[in-house]
Amino acid sequence: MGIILQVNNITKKYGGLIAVNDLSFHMEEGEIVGLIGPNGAGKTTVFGCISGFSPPEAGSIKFFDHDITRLSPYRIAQIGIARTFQIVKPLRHMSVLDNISVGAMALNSNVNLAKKKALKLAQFGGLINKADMPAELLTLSDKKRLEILRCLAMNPKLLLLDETMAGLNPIERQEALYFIKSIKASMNVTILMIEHIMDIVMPISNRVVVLEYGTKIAEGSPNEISKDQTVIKAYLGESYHAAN
Amino acid sequence: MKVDTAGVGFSKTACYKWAGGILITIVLAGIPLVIEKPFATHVLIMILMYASLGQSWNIISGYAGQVSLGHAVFFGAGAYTSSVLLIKLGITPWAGMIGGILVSLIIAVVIGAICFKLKGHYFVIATLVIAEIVLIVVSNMQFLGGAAGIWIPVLPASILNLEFHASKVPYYYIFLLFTALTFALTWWLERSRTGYYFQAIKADPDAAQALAINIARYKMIALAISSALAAIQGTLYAQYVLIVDPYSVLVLKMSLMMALVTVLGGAGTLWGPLVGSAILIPISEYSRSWLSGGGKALDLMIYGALIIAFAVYQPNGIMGLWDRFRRGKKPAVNRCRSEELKVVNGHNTAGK
Repeated sequence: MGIILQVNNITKKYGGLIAVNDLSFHMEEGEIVGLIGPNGAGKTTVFGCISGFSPPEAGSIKFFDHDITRLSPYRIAQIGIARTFQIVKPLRHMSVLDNISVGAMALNSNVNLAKKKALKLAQFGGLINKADMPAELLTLSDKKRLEILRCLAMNPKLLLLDETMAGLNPIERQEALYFIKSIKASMNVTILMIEHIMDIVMPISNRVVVLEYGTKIAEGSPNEISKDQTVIKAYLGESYHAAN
Repeated sequence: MKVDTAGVGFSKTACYKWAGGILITIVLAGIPLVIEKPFATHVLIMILMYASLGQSWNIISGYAGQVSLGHAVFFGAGAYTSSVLLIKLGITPWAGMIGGILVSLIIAVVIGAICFKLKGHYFVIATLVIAEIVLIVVSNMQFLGGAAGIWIPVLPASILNLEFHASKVPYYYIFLLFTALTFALTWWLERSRTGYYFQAIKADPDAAQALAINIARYKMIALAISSALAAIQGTLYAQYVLIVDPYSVLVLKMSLMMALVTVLGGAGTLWGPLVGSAILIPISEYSRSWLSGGGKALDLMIYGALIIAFAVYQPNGIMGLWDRFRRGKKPAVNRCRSEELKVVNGHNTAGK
């Protein structure tokens, strides 16, 4: 298994605010890596850097052998990195099936073939009963699922999932977790997922990277991370740390 | 489970559609044989012209979501280019039409390069301002006849000269042909990847980029197709009225009309521009002729009332009403009820 993504010393500033500070990490092919941290830690900004929506000011990002640091978002999507959005962005008036089809069209300009592939994916993702529905009428959890299916239609090598569990109730969360496991089991895809709820990331991640104020404070297996003193401090605060 | 697999098989509905299409073609082709009044033929020609212009606007604004209020520029480019080529160089309007398309494409590239970086309302304002600048510049250019415009010489009536004097009926068929071509192109576009990409860009530019769509390129394609279609109508119009002047082809009213017929009929739908045009243009033409000078602004008042009514009660236009009517017959799972929408929206905000 080779290295699929190599992030080298990236820094991203918004005016005076340093959102991501000198961050480096890498991903192996086939892994699930969790990117966690408190609110405002810079997790989504990292996604912006990798997916080209907000390129970093310094540092570089390599995808296999390509330097993708300055590529535009659509190019990055074309070469195999698909992302979802923290605040879902369905193609509102288009049907669920058409939403997935648009993703599939990245690989094939034939609309009918794209639709056939989209049907299979809708079946896989459990949205087949809602295939004709306008995407805006889906529930939040279905919208999030639709975004993932739309990404999968592009046959990505790397899937970036931005808080796919946020705003879901516990049952929906379990379903989503199961869904991600089934993606991992049936497709050859590497996953980088952002969550700020630790309980979700821990059971399915191979490795976890922890951010706080844009800086990496820890990296390791879920087991190591859950015992890491800096991480506990970042999440629960100094006093809680001292009391324990 | 019934799932939309449009185009995969040849269904019963497809048969109905073809039969309907053939019937409409026969009716449209036969109309001039029944109607004798030249004015009625004129109204039909105007309906066709505005349907095509509306469709041109629909491609960039209705499908791709880049609302333009400066489309008169492309219409004017078509009208002026063919007329100038005819007068100065004696070139047939058909070749002039191609010249008009080329000029229009150049303008489209320039406008695209400047304006596509702007988002939302700023794009609308930019197109509006560019159109006004062009109007002022052209009305001060002696080469283009200034504010008085250009008179196109009366030549022997023939298809090559694109001039007919005895009757308006040949014009009707020419406009009908180009309207049919415009709608056929849009029909094809709607079903192609390009058409899906236009709609994706309209729905959400960020999501579109994340789905590997080069949005700058596809916006440019939409504007190019749209501008070429408007330029064709410009040339035809110039040959129909035999005069081109800035205050009839380049004014804001022209751009607004393209938008109005489409919005009334249903923006982003294939038949919207034709439906809108068939309703608005007769109102405008007949109110002008019946009430003559006294009713000058009456058509505009009726437009205003219609647009307000549709903006408030039916933002998707008449085609939206038709859609709602058809949806009512579909199984419950596909029905979009406003209650459902409210629940979803409530859930959505709770999640954020």
